[in-house]
Amino acid sequence: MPYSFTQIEKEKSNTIYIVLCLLVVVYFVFSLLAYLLVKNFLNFYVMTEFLRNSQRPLAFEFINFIEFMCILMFATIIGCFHWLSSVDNLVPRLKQMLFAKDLDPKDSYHQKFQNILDEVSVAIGGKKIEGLVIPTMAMNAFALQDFEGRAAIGVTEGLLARLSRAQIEAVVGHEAAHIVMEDCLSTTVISSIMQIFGDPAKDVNALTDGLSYRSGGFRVRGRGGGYVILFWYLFCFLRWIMRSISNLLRLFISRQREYRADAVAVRLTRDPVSLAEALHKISSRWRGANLNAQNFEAIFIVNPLYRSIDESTSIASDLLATHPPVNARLSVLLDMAHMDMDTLVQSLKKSPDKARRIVQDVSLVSSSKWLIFNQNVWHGPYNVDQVVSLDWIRPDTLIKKLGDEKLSQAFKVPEVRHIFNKENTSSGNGLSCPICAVMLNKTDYEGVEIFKCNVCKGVLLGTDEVEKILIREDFGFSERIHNIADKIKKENNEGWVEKKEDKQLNRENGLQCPKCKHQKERMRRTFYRGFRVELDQCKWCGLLWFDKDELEILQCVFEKGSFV
Amino acid sequence: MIALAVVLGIVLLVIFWIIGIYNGLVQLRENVKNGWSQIDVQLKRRHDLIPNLVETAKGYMEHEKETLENVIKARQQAVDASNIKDKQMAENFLSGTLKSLFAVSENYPNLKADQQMMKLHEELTTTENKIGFSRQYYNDEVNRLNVAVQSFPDNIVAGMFNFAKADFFEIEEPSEKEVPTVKF
Repeated sequence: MPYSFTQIEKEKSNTIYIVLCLLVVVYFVFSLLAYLLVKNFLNFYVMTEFLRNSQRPLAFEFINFIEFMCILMFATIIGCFHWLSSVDNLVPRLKQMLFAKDLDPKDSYHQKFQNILDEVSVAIGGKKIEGLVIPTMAMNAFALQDFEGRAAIGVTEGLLARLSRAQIEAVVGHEAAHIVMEDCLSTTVISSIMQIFGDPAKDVNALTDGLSYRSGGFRVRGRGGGYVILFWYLFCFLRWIMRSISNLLRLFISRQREYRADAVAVRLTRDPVSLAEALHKISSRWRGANLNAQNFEAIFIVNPLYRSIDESTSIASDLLATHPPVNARLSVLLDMAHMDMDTLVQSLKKSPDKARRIVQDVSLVSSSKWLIFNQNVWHGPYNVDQVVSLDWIRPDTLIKKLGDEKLSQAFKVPEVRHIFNKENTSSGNGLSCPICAVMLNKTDYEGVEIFKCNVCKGVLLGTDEVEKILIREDFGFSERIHNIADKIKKENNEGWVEKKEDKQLNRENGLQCPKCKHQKERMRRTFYRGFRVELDQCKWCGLLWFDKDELEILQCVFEKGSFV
Repeated sequence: MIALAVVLGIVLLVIFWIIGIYNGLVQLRENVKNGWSQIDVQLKRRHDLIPNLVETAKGYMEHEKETLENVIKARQQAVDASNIKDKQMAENFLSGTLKSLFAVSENYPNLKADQQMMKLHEELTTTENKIGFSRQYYNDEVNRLNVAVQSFPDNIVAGMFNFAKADFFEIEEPSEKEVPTVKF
């Protein structure tokens, strides 16, 4: 099979040019009908109204050659204009319509996705592929391509969080297969054209519905009634035409593409099992994609709108469906792997449900203590977190473990060495803990960059980061956290919230936001997304402050309630 | 007169046909060269990552000096290798030493949790995958070139212009092919 990128370049698909011709034809037919309608209406009206005495017969006039050419030219111009505005700057426009964002280089999950994209681009011969992420908990993936040679593959946050590396690689391989076979180009163009037809169709719908309500069953009087009825019919006709065009365009998107892309993906990654697992996981849960537009279904790996037509195998569904039935795809893949469906389902069930896991409480485990030599005095003993937050420690400061006699310089001790990394210096970010006033330490949690206080263990981060952390399930939680989470869920079921006692800290005035340090508005206590965990949020910059354990509790409550 | 025109026509057709096949073979040969250079790029990246890895590991794994030294020696060998066969052998040997290093590092949970180490591990994993994919791409292109050069009637044109078969990037060491036995 010629899947090599350089080979396929030569065999450009002609489908898109057929679509262009179809567009011109459609505009021509529509303009012709409209012209005929108007012309004959005028004739009729003019004849009856002003030339009552004339004996001229009322005949239906068709068009002559000159009119035909004019309408054809008009239709060609409009069609080309529509085409050019659809295909211009395709990838950035569609990226905006899909609410997709660029990858964040500070996020380790996004970095992993970027690495996987680079690997697959090496496998197809070096074509550069951009990465996009849709910030939603659902699981899906898509590919975009345009005439300028740009290609992009996008996934959702939910997919990155829930699939293993091999499974993500298989999904990316599938999307890359679409790009290599160039059917991605025709699908992207058709989706863009349909988008332009789709939205006006909605507006026309609204207009006709409004009209029929207003005329209240078409009881209208005199001449005025005739006009309303005529316009109503015209709009209904318009609506019917636009819907038909959209459906007609769907004919050009074959469901066979998906089978071919699956096969090429397996050929690229040599791993049919991972692709089967990924498809099964995506299709059985949360396959949506945060979209309200119907016109983009075709670019996704699994149809984000569950359409029953996809699951059937009649001739009509072969023409109109954009995706093949998921079971058929799975059986093809499992055949390649010499596996059956039951084994697949069993192996997926075996992967542990991380959120339910109970792990050892890290805060209770005693870690090693250190003594630090400064100005002729041994300071300490401190644990690692406290050492890291000391401002005066230098790379050549002498440090020794409690109970050990061996002295070393701080930069030689691996547990502490990382604080001398330029990126990690606490003084770099200028954020201080609102409770303890020490500098906040930039650290990594579940792939996301957060600011943590080493003394009171409080955490500062933005709402985007909280969303990502809630979706991702790297860690299990200790029994203590599980108990608190269970209690919160129970209270939730029992009724309205009573105001919690403020803690020992003086919170009546609220905390001062570390970032904007707004003098007038302090951070106020709030519930996050309806979960009964009280947090502080700054009304001006939106940053959230979590006290010790609150982030883990929120995660635990969220993950217990989700349907994953 | 007509016969002359027909013969001329046939000769022209044959010439165009030869040109077409020649261009196809040139494309395939260049693809193979491109594939080989891609492998080189990824191998070099691995060579550059290894010193950093060894430095990070040294701080935690003081008692595993031998494993670390093996990695460094293997890397130097791979960098020094000149012809293709030596390169292949040296790279396979380097992969082996890295595998034993990661196996040993399982005993050091502090090392595994270290941020720098996690980043390096991810970088090395992705580089190893890219090496694998570039080898796969190279081998597939070699396959297509070999098939084209040996099929009839393309092999006539190939013979005229000296298009040769290319070699696959294969595993040289027989020990690599053995299935590892797991003992508990």
